[in-house]
Amino acid sequence: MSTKGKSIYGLILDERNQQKGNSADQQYFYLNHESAGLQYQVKFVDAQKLGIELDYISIKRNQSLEEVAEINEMLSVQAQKIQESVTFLLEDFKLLELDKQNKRAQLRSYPPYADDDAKYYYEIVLDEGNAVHFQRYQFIRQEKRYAKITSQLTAETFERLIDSLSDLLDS
Amino acid sequence: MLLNIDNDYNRFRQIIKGKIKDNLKKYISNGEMVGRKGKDLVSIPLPQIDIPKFRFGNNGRGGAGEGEGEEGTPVSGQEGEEGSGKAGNQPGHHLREVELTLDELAEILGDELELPNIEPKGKKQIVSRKDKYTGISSVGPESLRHFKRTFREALKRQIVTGQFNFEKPQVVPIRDDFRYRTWKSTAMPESNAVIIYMMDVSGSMWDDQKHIVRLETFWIDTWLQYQYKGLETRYIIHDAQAQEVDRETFFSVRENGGTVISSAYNLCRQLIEKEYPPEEWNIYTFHFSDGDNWSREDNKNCAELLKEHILPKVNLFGYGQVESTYGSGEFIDFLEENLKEYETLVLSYIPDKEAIYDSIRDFLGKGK
Repeated sequence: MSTKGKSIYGLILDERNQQKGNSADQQYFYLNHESAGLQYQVKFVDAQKLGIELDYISIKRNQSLEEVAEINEMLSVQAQKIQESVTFLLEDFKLLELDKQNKRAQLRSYPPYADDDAKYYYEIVLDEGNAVHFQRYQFIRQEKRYAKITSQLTAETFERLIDSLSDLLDS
Repeated sequence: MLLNIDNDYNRFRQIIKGKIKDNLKKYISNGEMVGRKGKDLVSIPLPQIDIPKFRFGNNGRGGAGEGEGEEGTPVSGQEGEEGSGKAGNQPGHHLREVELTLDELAEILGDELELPNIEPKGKKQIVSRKDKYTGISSVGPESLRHFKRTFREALKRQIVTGQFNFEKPQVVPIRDDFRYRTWKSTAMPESNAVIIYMMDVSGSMWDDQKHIVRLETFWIDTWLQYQYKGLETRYIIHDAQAQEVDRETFFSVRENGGTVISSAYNLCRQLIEKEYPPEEWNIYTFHFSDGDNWSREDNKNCAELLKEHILPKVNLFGYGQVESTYGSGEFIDFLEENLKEYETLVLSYIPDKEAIYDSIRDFLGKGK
């Protein structure tokens, strides 16, 4: 079982405490970390022992694929894996767009959560088979536009998410 | 006084048109109610129309009964039984389908939405020549020889000259009897128009969104066909790549690629440059998308294509942004911010079917 999530979360807590020490009114924190050929960038609002208010996660593999056909094949496999394994966020994922020309895949939670005023969904974008980006969005009906919003995740959920996304790029 | 049935018929048509006009918003939002019947007819279900009919009075049938039996005795002589059926709990449906021509429907649409008639662009009028047979001449090509008139001339000549034998009638035309049809060519100014529809068929555009586009295009077609005779229609679909398709494919195709809107604008530009010189054609372009373009860079490409190659050449570029399951993207805002000075650009936000009515007014209300 992967322990990447646990170690990243530990680093996040350290980073948060360190950056908070530098500036008490800091609005966002960043973790940039490289481990086993993967570059992690996590932007978050706050993190405590039990949970995190997350903005986004970006993970990139240093080694990139060359062949377009190989990349698109990889994107399909990764999209399938996400749909099967990232099932712990209360919203399942669906592959919406697989852009073979630009070598990107876009998955969103399906169905999106909706209340009277807005719709909410997670989005995972897979880029060229060697990068993955996770973000939550909100569509406010009145304003007719999307906005990036934060996700509130327990520490355990966050760790599972990091493990699942890292596994995509490991394979 | 005898009344012509045409009066009643026309009065009835007026009532029907009035009913349709009253319910137009419902018909626009529920396109399945409007059925096509052939090329030029549509059928529309109309509730609550009382059809005039004869009603028989009671003349000669009234009065007290005089036969045997007492009041309350069943006519059949047997006691009646209670029925076992239950009362219905659904309202009755009395729908009457009426047929209208597309021109009549367009008139109703124009009246109700107060759409101005389109003033075609200045130079686009093409002069086409139409030939019409208008007279008879004694000279002409053999292919246009008028046999009846030729024989009539021959008969007249034979009678006048005493050559006609009533006992043994025979008419033999000679060269001077020959008559030929002559024609006159008239110049007919025509306004040529083309609609180029573009639709985003990427993975985020689902059937609900395409249904909205289908309804919208039906009403746009109806109005523009009413305004221009000889309207051409072209269809472009796109995800990350664009291609031209036929109408059926346009509405039925399912793709799951990304969204690169500039691919459609590029193809549209090529189509206009190759086949529709703007000095000869009234060009109408409509693009429907959920506005979720893949990148801001591509938004800029779109703006460039529109500014340089499309907006100056078209009568109207209508961009309709529908709302997908996830909401609606930023493309409409981008166009609003960057191209608002172009009069030929019309933007319309269409969150659901109810909004189609206003959207059609947005697109066609400028009389372009």
